[in-house]
Amino acid sequence: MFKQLLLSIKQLWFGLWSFNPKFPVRWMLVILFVGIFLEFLASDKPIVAKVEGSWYMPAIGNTLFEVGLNKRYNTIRRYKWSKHDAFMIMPLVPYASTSIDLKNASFKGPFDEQNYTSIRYRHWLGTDKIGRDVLAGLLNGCRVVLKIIFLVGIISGFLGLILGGFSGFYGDDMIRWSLSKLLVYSFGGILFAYVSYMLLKLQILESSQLELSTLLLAFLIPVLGYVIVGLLHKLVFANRLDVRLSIPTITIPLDSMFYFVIVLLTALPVTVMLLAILSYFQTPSLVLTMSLFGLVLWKGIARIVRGEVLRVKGEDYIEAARQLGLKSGQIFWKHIYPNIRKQFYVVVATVVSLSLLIESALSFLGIGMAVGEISWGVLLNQGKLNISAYWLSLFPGILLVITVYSLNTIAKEGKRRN
Amino acid sequence: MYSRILKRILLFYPTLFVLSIFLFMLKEAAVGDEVLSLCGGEIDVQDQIYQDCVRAYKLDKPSFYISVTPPFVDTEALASVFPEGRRSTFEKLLYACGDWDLVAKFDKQINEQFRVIEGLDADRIIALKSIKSTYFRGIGLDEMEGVIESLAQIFPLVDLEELTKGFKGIKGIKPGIWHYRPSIDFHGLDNRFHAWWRSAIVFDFGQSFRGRSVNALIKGSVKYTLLLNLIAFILSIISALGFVLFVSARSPRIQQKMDGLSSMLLAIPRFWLATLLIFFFANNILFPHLSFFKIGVAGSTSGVSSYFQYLGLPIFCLAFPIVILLYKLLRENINVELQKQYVQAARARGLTEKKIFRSYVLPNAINPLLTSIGSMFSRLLVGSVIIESIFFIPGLGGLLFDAFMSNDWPVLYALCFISGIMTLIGYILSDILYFLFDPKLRIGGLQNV
Repeated sequence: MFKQLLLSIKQLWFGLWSFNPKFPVRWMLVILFVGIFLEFLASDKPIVAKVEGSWYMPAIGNTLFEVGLNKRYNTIRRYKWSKHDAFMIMPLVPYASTSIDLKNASFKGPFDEQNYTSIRYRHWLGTDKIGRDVLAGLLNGCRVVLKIIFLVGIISGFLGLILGGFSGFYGDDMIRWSLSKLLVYSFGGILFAYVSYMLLKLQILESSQLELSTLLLAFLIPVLGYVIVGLLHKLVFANRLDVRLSIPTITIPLDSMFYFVIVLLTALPVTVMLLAILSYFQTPSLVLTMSLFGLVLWKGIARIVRGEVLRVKGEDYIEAARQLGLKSGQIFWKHIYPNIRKQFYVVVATVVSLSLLIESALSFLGIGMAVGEISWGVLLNQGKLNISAYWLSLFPGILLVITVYSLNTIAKEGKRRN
Repeated sequence: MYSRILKRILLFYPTLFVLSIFLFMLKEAAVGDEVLSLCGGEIDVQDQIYQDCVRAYKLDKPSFYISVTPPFVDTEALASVFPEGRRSTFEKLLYACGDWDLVAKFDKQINEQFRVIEGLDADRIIALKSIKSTYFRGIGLDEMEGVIESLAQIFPLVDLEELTKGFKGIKGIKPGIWHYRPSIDFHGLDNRFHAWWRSAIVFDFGQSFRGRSVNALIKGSVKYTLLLNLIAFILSIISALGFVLFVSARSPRIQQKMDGLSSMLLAIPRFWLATLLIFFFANNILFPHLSFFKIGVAGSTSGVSSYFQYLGLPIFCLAFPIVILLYKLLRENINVELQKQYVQAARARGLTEKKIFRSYVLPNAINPLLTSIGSMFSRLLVGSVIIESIFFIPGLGGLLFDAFMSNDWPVLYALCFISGIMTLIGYILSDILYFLFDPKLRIGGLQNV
């Protein structure tokens, strides 16, 4: 078991320097593992403990409680586990990322003399200013990375695929709407935009801050509204009144509109915009920040998707599918999407690595980030306070570089294999 | 291709307009009481300075050309309610009851009551002031009840029946959804956005919240950023070309290793590199022999070597990612070009590998890079933010960082506006460069680039 562990570490180490594409995949698997099983690796509560004759799993108890699988045990919540002598199995790192060890505060290095009762409680990678364990922080950083990957990847990937796919698929001359449809839709759009604006305004006036649920509702209302407006238009106008009244048809330059939005997003200082939006929320959480990142980072994905759709659109089988009478949506999901899927994943990976860098840079500067969640950027920020505490800037930096490198390499490898 | 460049140039102004609308919206949303921030400190609404400031910056005007509000809101009248907190309270009451006259009357009465200080002892004046500040903080209906009760305690002899009646009237109305229907008002050119945009378009960004004018601040710091970035950019182009020439002449195995290493070096963020460099080369305590470099800005009387001491590390940090990126892109392009048939033809004609590489492959590989110069041009400011704030250089990036930290929104939006313009110009510039250097496009091939 130990030998195997040593072997896999050796493989990882040599894989790193052979620039083998296998290494990045393994590294991301390591991050995935640590991110998921964080509580078993680093926690100030034991994994398994026997208190007064009954068994508990305090390390994951809180998480289980949040999911709803567990009830809160008030008896063991406030135990000082490091002083307790009941039977228990502590995790490998007996500190949580946020637990404060005042005995070893003010930048204790890995080789400095430390104040501990048992060697298991040593801070192997040192502590920061208020005595938080760096190793536990690094492990918690893996979970932050996972959160960023999933949130930014899913949100920006979805937006990029839909918007880029639409503009590539329909181009400048494929959408022909009758004037009635255009009017009904734009009227509906303005109306529902007003409704969600009013909703947000009333909420801000009432409680002087935004809530996530209201924001979601404000996004959902226009979408729902468009569905209703579309149905209404179909019932009243489509194919009947349009023809009878000979209402003219208008071509909508979707692609040009898309181009305009892309240029605008490039010229906008996205980060400043995000921070200004974040200043509305009293407690910015990591999830919120990353969701907002996802909402603005779809630009690159949409561009690539558009190009790929343009490439695939001219193929014969698309024309054949069209002649067979398939609808646009069917053609897109059954014939185009499988052909652009790989390129799509590649560009999502690059965007995710970019967002990792942005998050760490913002945390490093100490702006706009959530309090209480230790990421690699937060540790780097702590290292900025004391330039001689190299352990605070060296280790998280190395992990960050390797992770970004891995994501980039996976993306590059995916591009090469296409 | 001509049409493409023309399209970009024609799109410049509409894009700039929408961009400034965005920036203005953010500014409106983020800034609290602009007058207090501009003048600094505690000023009363009654003061002459306050009124002058309001008039000078047209702050009592509606914010945009048109406004879409519920019909009971009179936007122009609402904009002239000062200070900001009073307007906020006014708005809260207004949206809760949906009757302009009631709220206006109530607001007028309660503000007149605030002004009455005759016959009050010191304690009561202080209590009155605290209530006033509560009211001017922007409060809703539920807190208003407490305010009126405290007013009644302060003025036991005065009959506050009118006020209570007004408040009960406001509280009694529960408007239906129909009352919130949209109505559109037009305000003409006399609005805040128009004033802001008209002065921003000629690069006059007004007053910063820290006393000096934004233009003076930018003028004072633009030289550092330009100097740093110019040197870094030139150095990085030269060294990237040098690396490419060096590596391309080695064996394929070394080429492969170097390419792998470059993709790893590309993942190094600038700020981490800066931290490490400072740790090793500007650390008098741990490495006194290595610490040649210094952090900050050189004095005006110092020589060239001292300039190098101060600027060496930041220039290196700025140039490093650009070098790696240019190296990678060039290597990829060279690998693509080497597969093409004209290289084989040149070999068949008996040209040497060196000649082929220098006069055929390299120029063709450099051409596509010209487009990315535009985007690099625009990222200049963003890249400088971190480096300048780490090395304490008072350039534009440092200015942006400080402005963000002290909520100095005029400076922030001026810088965003400038960087937006630079991005748009960079776009047009890269198109023109592409057009000049690639004869394929001039003839009109490649419609969808």
